[in-house]
Formats: sequence, structure tokens, C-alpha cells
Amino acid sequence: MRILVINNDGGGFADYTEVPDGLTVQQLFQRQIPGGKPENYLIRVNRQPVPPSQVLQDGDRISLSPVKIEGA
Amino acid sequence: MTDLPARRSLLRFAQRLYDHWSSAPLAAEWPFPDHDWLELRRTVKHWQLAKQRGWRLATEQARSYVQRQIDSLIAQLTSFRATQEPDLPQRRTVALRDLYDDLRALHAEFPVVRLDHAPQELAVQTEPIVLDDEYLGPFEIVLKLPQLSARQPYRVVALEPHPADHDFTTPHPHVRDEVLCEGEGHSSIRTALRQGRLLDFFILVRQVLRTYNRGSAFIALDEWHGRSCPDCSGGMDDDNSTLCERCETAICYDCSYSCSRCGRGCCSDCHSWCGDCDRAVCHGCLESCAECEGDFCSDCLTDGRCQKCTEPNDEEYEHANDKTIAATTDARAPTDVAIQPVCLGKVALPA
Repeated sequence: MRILVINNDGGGFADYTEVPDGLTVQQLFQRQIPGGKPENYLIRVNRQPVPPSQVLQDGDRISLSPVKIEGA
Repeated sequence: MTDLPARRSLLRFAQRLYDHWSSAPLAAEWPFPDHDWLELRRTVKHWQLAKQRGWRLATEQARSYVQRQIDSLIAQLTSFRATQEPDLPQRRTVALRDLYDDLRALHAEFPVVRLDHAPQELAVQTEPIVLDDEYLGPFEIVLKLPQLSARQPYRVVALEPHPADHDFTTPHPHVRDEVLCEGEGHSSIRTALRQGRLLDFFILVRQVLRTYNRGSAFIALDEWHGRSCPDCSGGMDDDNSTLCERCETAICYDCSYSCSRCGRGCCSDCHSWCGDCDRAVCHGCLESCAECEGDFCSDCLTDGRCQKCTEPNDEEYEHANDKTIAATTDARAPTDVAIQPVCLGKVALPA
């Protein structure tokens, strides 16, 4: 299935990606940000906060934003 | 969470947003950061000058500013490079539906959302920001729609300002004159704006406001209520501080020493103690002993030498004493020889 992933860590790029059916939010997070801790990110699916165990659906829009972003 | 406006009203505002985004320049047309590069070069020169002249505070301020400018430039160049790639995922066409959904989501995410048709602004209010136990109050993030192509088309306004004591233009360690110093968030904020991702844009700005980076703050929070004296680290404000009259560093009165020669008030970096009379002397009035090279005030030097180097030391004194005794003995010698016994204490007398 195809989902839109917006990674706001660093560049903040958005792109569509193919993922296997049944993939959970937590599994997607681990694929996108290896070694990252989910509690350090605001994870939204279709603009709503969701539990890590939520299974993704075709066409979902997932955004990952760091909780801490250091200003200069 | 704000009450959601009527669907019709939201749609009308989303349409207005769509018009603005559609007419804003494409990402690839965004300018190269020439201005920031020149600004960085200027600041580096100031930094080097401050270091050469030994201006400690100015050096530290310039260093911090250079660091911020480098971070900003790196982020801008990263974004610029991204806009030059042939396949630009961030060039996603803004969809009216996405803008509408973002507007709805903003009402769930922020305590207050303001949609102004007249000044053409979209604004959200954050919850009160507290950093390191310092209450800074809520902020409003105001997106100026007609300026979407500007370098920073939004402003950050303190709604209950709790600015630094000595700088009312700084209501947050990373906000000055309503401009947020985005730091790490620069690229992602730019990209969100380019792509018309309203919700992400406002969340990212809010997260920067919620994060404190002491190393790059306009004013560090531990200096929020008055500055700290660089010499004793104690707190100080305008009433109990003064400027060093040599390097212009702000110091508290207790740490300001008046030069015994010229009377200038100096910080610890700009004065020393006379090695003889122990009075404070600024580095401009301090002189070195030509012999021992110690630091003294001019009153304590005689012909360029300190008192200790002018007086003979013990060894020299003993040596000089021996010579005196020897000279005395030599002077008596002829008379003594005339009456000296030839041998065994007998003296030859004329018959």
C-alpha cells in the first residue's frame, strides 16, 4: 500500500512510500528513524495523535516531528 | 482546543490560503542566501577584532552570533540544494482539501486559532511556555499570507511578555523583535511553508518555542533577571553595574577596581596589583621592572627598577662586605710589615 510520510526531522521532506499491509505506526517509525525513540517525536496519522500500535491504512498521511527543536 | 468555525467559513479561508500559495514563487525560485553570507563574513571580522583587543564579552557575543549565523546558513544552503534537485518531492501541489484539513486540525492542536481576512493573517496561540522554570507566557504565531515568499513570513508575538530584564525586545531566549531564530528547525519550517503544510509549520514553530538551547540563546535564562558579573558570577542590573573603562565589559561595582595612577575603573582582566605597594593598577599604567620584569606602579620603580632590584641582596651585601674588609687590611699592611717580627716574634732593633 502507499502512504505519505512527512519527516520533519532535519530537512522536513514529504514523500509517498510503499509499505507492506499491516504495518503499525511503531514499525514505520523504526524504518524511518532507525535508533530514534518514539517519545521524542510527535507522531500524527491523518493529523491526529495515534497509539504506536495503530495499523496503517492505504493513503494515510503520517508526520513525524521532533519534540525538541533547538532554536539558535 | 478552539471552537471550530462553521464549515463554510473554514472553506472560504482555505480558498484564500490556496490563492496565496498558488501565487507564491516556486521553491526553485527561492534566493541564494547572499545576504546571510556577507553578514557572516562581517561578524567573523568583528569577532577576530574583539579577540585581538581582548574584549572578552564582545568576543563571546560575536562567537555566539557567528555560530547562529553558520547554523542558519547551513540550513539555508541545505534547503537551496534541495530545490535544485531534478525530482522535487517538496514541490507537491498544494491542495485545497489539505489546507482545509490543516485548518480543522489547527483548532484541535492549539488553544486559540485566529483567521483574519482583513490583514490576511492566520494565527495560533500556544499554551504558556515555561523553560527551565522560567515562565515566559503564551505566544502567538502569526503567518502573514501576503508575504509567503519572504524570508520569514511570520512573526512570534509574546501575549503576556516576560522579557529579559535588560532587553524588552527579547521575550524568549530565541525570539527577538518578534523574529524567531529557527536554528535546527529552519529547513523543516521552510519546507512545510513551501508545501503549504500549515499544521506542520505551526507545530514546528511551537516546538522551537518549547525548546531551550542555552548555547545559542539571545539571552541565556540564567541571565534573564539581570546579567551575571563575568568576574564574580553574581547577578547584576543597571543599578549595580558599571563598564570597565578599558575593555567596556559590564561588571558589578564590587569587581571594579580603580587604578591608583589614572583612576579608571577596571575589570579583573584589565588590572593587576603592584608587586611592591599592592595597589590596583590598570594595564595601561602598569610598568615592568627592567631587572626582574615584575609588574609595578611607576611610583615603586626607581630608574626602571623595583625597590628589591635596586637594593643589593644578601649575597651581594656579603661580597661587598668582604671586599671592604680586605681593602681595610691592605691599607694597614705597610705599617704592620715594618713592625712585624722577622721570626718567632722577635724584632730586630738597631744597636
